[in-house]
Amino acid sequence: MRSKPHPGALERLADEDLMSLVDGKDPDAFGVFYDRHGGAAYSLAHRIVGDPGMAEDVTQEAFLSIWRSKARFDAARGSVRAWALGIVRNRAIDALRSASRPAPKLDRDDEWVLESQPAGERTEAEAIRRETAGRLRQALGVLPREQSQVIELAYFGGFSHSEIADMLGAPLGTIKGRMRLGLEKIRDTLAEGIPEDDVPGAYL
Amino acid sequence: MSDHVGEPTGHERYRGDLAAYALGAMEEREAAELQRHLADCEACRMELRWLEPAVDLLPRSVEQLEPPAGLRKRLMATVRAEARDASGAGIETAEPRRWRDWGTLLWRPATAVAAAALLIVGAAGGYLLHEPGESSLVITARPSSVAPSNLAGTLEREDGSAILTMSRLPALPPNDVYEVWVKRDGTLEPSSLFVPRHDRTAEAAVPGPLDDADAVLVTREPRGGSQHPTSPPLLRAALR
Repeated sequence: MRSKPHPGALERLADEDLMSLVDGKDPDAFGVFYDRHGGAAYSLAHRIVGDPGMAEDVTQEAFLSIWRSKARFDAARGSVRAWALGIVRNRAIDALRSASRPAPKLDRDDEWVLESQPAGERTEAEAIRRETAGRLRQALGVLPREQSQVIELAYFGGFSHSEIADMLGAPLGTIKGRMRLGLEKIRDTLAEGIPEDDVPGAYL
Repeated sequence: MSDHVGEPTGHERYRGDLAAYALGAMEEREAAELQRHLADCEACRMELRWLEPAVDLLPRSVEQLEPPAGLRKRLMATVRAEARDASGAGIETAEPRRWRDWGTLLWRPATAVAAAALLIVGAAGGYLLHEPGESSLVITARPSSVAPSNLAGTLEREDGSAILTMSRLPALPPNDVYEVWVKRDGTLEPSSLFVPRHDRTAEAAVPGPLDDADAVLVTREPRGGSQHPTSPPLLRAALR
């Protein structure tokens, strides 16, 4: 049996090292992993499915699938956080599809800014995540509406590019082009320093 | 980045799809086709790697909420229970237990006689050895086939008694309650009654002693509770 880091030490492990302990079925490591990413995961699920109970289910299923190693982290393909949130996103979209999906409201003006949610107990981690999210929304807010709309429908709505083309009555090529321009513009904001390390403890 | 020589045929077409692919916005078949191209095309792989961090920022831009505390509690209870099962301390693996356990009979689609069958067939239960050295532990309660599959519960044993924590309980008709049962020597003894909160979670105390009990079950009953179950169990935590 592998020797086990003491609990305080777990919190200082980098995400990648934590994940190898989670793969080894260490519940304490899983707890630290959840504490780091559970909030962002739940927030994303809530954004996509729009219902607290369903968001809770989606988050639970995503984390259990990670625990049960049905999803494996591959360090070659990006950060642990991006990987985990990708799993949450896909689960949430599946959940949306299996519930009968209401027709998307295209006239909404809240693409990047949701009406404020009841604030739960504020933690330091949450405060930092909130700040990053606010800065990101600001950066995303400068995208032309036609670009933010297609990105929103694709990523948070789970619609395919051809579905979006039908919905908006625009040629598929136009939709692809808007997606690409939008992502390129977001990519440019990365250079302006959105912090990578907004997960306390993860990069000490 | 375009006009490179030596890129596979159709390269420009695939290149135009990379943003949609990164956003998860392609049909499965289209995505599979693009993946085959990516395997052959270094230029597209590089470009995809360049685009991906933009997509990774999207989930971080949403309004940040605090997840319900019960979520962590349930996850950890499940994870600890599974880690314990996997560590081989158990007498048997989960799979054989499922089939040897008579209680599984009820896990088939419900019939009117299901509850009665429980009482009769139940007499065969209780032969498994008690697992030693586990006086305080958390057991995963599993939904039956008549329950919604996302119904979740844990039974936390403490000092001979237990607390049953549940989420995603089906809403009750106005005159019904949930009833907890303790199965012992093949019979079901009524325990506590409860109704879920608005968020469909609930905790129920299960007074002990539970040392010689085989399982804890939950059924839906008329208000006031029943002396014998009148509906098939929705949730079951095996104690042995």
